Amino acid sequence: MPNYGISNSNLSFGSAQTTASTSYQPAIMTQPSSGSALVSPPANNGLKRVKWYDVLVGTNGTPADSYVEYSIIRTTIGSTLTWTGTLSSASSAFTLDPADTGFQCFCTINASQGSSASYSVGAEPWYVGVNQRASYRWVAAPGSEIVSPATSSATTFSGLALRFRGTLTTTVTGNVLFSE
Amino acid sequence: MRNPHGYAVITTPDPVRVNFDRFRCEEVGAGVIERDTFTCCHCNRIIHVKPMAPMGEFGSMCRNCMKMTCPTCADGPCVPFQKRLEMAEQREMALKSYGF
Repeated sequence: MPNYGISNSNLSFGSAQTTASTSYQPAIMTQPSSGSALVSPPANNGLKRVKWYDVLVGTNGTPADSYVEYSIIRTTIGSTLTWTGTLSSASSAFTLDPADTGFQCFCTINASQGSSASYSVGAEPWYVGVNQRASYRWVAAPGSEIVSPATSSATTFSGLALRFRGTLTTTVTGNVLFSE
Repeated sequence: MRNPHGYAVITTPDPVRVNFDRFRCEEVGAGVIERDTFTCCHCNRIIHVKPMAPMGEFGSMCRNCMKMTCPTCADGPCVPFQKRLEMAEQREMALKSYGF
């Protein structure tokens, strides 16, 4: 079961980090996929469950006193993928072990990679609200990860998204480690 | 907590209030704050456990699974999350078996 690390960094394929606002903004999103032209490798290896086991969040702006809400939600992005991010096409760059192949799932970072209106939200498996000066990390014990079912993107709430909101005017950082 | 399902660390330069899981707010001091977490066996939700708090404050235990549940699932029926995953994947598996 290969492991991958994704962050919403500016350095990853030139995607600009989203500035926080009072409505939720997505930072990182994964959606099980059987592989397509959007995904590297393009071979169809079948759908796989995506398991998030490590989440690290914080801010990288000038420190101030305000509240940031971080949450992970289950998502549906529909059969027409408008989140045509560049990340999935270079998935092999995100393996923690260079010997592994790239992830099969459809993965995007930051709202700048697509329209945030293109997904609908479901249950919320993880939530924390904290001052923006603080950083937060959660690590799962083996077997206790946040899991998304191995179903296609059109299936209800088969994806996971890390999102944030707050009154701060800076950008928010997120890092997710997951296995497939 | 004995046999936690996960582990959370908050690093903060000042004392802050933290809202855990939309269930409770907690004032935490400056420095590194650590919390154990468990994963609800019915809905896969992550719950942060306050040290020395009674179980009723942050969840319950399913007497069928003999595993921890979140407060939302505490009064619900016993449908293990693994079963929910399999139910969600049934359609895909059927289509695959038909050659689609």
